[in-house]
Amino acid sequence: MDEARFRALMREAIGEELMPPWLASTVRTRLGARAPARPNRRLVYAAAAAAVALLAGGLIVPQLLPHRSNAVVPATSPSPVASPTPTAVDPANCTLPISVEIGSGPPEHITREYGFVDTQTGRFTVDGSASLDGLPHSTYWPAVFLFYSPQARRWLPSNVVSPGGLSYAWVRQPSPARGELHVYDVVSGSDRTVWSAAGDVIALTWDTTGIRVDAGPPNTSTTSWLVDPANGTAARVSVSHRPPFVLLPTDPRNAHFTTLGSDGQGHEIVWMYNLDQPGSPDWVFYETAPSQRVTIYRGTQGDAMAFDPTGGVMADSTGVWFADNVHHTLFHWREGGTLTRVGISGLPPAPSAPHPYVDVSLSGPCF
Amino acid sequence: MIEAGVSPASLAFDDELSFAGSIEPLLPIGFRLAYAMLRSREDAEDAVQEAAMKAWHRRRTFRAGAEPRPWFLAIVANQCRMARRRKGWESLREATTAEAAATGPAEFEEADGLRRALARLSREDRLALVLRFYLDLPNEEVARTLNVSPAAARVRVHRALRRLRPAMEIEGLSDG
Repeated sequence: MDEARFRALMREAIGEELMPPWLASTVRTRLGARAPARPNRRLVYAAAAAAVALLAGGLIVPQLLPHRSNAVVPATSPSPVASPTPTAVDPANCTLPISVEIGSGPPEHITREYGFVDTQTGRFTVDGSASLDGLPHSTYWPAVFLFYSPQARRWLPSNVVSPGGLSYAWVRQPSPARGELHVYDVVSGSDRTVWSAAGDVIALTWDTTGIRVDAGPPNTSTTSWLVDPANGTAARVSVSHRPPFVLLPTDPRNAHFTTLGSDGQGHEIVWMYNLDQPGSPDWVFYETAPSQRVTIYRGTQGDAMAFDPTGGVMADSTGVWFADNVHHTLFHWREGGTLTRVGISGLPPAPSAPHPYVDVSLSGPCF
Repeated sequence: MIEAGVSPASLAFDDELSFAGSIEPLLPIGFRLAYAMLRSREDAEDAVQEAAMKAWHRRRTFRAGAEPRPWFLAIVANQCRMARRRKGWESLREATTAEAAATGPAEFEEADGLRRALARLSREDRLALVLRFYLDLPNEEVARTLNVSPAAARVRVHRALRRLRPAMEIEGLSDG
């Protein structure tokens, strides 16, 4: 193959996405600090997917789970069970699923571990029985441990999980022109095609109203749908483009803003920060109405709280969990409460290689 | 050959708004780089926004008289590394089939094969190939973006190509 052909093939392989026109004006606006940032949709989607599933799942967890076991590692042979005994989960004494990525590079080398943090002691224990064997997964990414369902007592290759925690959605792309939304029942091991659409199909969230899906033919904008997992009927839904917060005149001009995810009540949690500048304002909040901020934490960069939620958030029945990969710490917050810290011990060490890191991701509700 | 992107003669650092105006011509190529590295339009939009903010905060690292494009692309590339690291499941997502659908059936397998081969490369190898063969940057500019010498950049590109093989065989690559 000659070089010209290779260049052409590179463009075909990667595709040609044109920059959206709004991006330049958004950059101008952000630099001018005259308007809020466009929400970071990657984080919003990922966190919303997890948060909605967890919120709904978390509310049901107490009804489904037996009393919390002191054993951190679940049964070797997972078998989904349900218990009618409602049990309130104590965030100070529960088991939080996390995944840990240990990486370095270049040359890039990444390994992952999956397990649980005992929030009473902060001790991380690897789940030696973690397995995705026999579970179908979306064809647009490899089989990855994305979510731990306490109800199913196993890791799932999807974070679009039913409110009951016993089924999950995944997408099969039988051809570039068509995508199929599938629902896999973990208990019965049965899989069914619920809905299909032309082009790409991306499953986003699953709550009591249905499965939120984005779909659209290649190289077009996508449409949002709400699919009923019971009968496959789908209704178009409109997506709010309201910014997650309003920038105040008093906000510092040199701060960064990022949305971390949902608090489980539909509020986007925003982090205003400047990691490069000790002493600069550090503010984690959400808005209940334009300019009406509810503070989760407000301090300064480098202060004693050392709260840098770089690992995102996850809402469950106990409140909101934050992962801090700067300090390898978890934080918990609930409305009307305070921010509490859980230092994690027992994490794998950073590799002795260039640019090492150990990152924690929240992977399920505390149980 | 696709135009690699307009580069402003220089950047204005008087204030944020003049900087925003001067860096605007670089945003499209920054977006193409981010899209090629992150494989997601939404992630690329976020990465370019953050890169532009960081470019302003790192304005003192820009040497007067230097080429703005590799300086900004280096910041975009770094932002893509950060985005992948902060990740979650979406960073692990392989290429969708959307682009492949736009190609003819006969070419689908070749493009698909290259896409899979690229997905297996390290991010640094992929970055070198994207800069050289997707953005069509000259080797000198690839070097400045990677912050290495031109000779080292050439080595990185060839090394990345070797790792792509046997998936792809490329003959007679130019040094330009």
